[in-house]
Amino acid sequence: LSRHAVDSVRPVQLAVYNASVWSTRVDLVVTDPGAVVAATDLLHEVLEQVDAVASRFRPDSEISALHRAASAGRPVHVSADLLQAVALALRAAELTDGAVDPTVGAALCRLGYDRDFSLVRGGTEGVLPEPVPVPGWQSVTIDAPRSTVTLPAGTLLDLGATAKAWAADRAARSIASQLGCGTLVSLGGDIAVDGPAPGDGFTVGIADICGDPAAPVAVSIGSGGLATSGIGHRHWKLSGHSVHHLIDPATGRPVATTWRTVSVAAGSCVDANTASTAAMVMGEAAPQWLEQQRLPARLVRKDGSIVAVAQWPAEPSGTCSLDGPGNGAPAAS
Amino acid sequence: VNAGRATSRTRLDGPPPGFDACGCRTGPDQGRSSDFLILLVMSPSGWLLSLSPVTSTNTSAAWNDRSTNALRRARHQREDGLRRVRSITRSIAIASVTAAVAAGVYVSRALPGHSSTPTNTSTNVGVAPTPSGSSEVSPAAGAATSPGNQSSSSLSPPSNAPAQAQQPAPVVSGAT
Repeated sequence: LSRHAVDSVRPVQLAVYNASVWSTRVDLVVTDPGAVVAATDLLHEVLEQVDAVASRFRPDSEISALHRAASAGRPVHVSADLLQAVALALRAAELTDGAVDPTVGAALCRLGYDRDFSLVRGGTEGVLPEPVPVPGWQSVTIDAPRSTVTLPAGTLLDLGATAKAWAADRAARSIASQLGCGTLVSLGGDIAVDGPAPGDGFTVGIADICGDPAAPVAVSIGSGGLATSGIGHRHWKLSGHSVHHLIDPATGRPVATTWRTVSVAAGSCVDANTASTAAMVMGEAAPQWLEQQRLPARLVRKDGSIVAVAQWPAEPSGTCSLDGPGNGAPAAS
Repeated sequence: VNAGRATSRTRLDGPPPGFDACGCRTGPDQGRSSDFLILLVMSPSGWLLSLSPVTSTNTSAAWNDRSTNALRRARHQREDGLRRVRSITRSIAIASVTAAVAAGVYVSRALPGHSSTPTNTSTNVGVAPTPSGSSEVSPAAGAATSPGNQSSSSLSPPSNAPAQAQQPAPVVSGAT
């Protein structure tokens, strides 16, 4: 962990903290500057707990142990935290008709994404795999009373679409409930808000890349979650092919998406990130699906044009700048 | 030894002797009937017939039967009536409960923010029994967690849509 700054913004009495965790940016904003130190401790406590449970890059994590133990297709006893993390991932899959499927772990490994992204960013060796459907979330079984998870042989779970957002929700809830202050936690742009927010809510910039200071638009949120998914950041070269981390469950290969980014507001960060990831996978069907879900969303096409649905605030200009940082996003394979 | 029994009983059109019109006894010895026990005994000299009277304390059987039957009929009628009332009451109760539940479900689905089944508690996952006897999670039926109050059957919309903001943003949401 590297703590870059602890900073108080005087007029609105917000304390802002940021760091780098999981190869991504972490931001914490609290409405009580006196609570920021205790809040950062709670934040990192939650991050460590989730990492120890759900990181597929740590050999000592619980999910890695599950992958090893489940190779024979037998039920494996897991902790309540991992059970909940897997259940959330399966729920996301069911509510998105399988667009967000946690059984894409092996497909990501075949693409070279089998270690921390900081080690993948520079490119990996290998060949682009043939299209093969992922095992499918229906093949994963949870026995809640016995606290067991059963995976088919060879199935690897990737909880990336839900675990990071789940960590943001947990951290915001923990800080707000224990310190009694309004709290915003952002893990790589997956934002959770809890506790008493400032009068106008927390202001959040929306950009193609998380943390981009030149965010073209800003919105305020007072509760729930907001998440942005896109292919502008987590992409790499696989033997000359440009690939990214959003997998089409039908082919096991990076999805050929219509959108550069999709930002969604929801009642929780988990739901926001589930919806934004699903929208990236769904392509042209995404706006109508988001409207049906009553989830305010901002979708940016590759040409920079914007589609706003379900009461997402209108923007003065109809298009994003094509000179923005997201312009370097790879064409989906 | 063969034994037989003969019963002599007085047939009455009115109250039997020793009873008034109400069926009450009027005398200690009245209303008795006479029974005779016929005994056939085989002896070396032949069959011996013995007829021995037996005094019975059977009291006014006919009159008692009649009044008892009337009481029994009345009791049956009363119990039938009670049974019918009980059945009707039960039907009304079941119909009322069913209507109340149906109305509750309809209203809960009609109200904004209540379009899904109840949320679960923080560490619970929804469990559905399986034919094998074990219980497996139906993800959408209960993976809900306390953060964000996820509903079980749909993604939860925000309580308020984001609003346009002009202030500088301390946090930026973007792809990672």
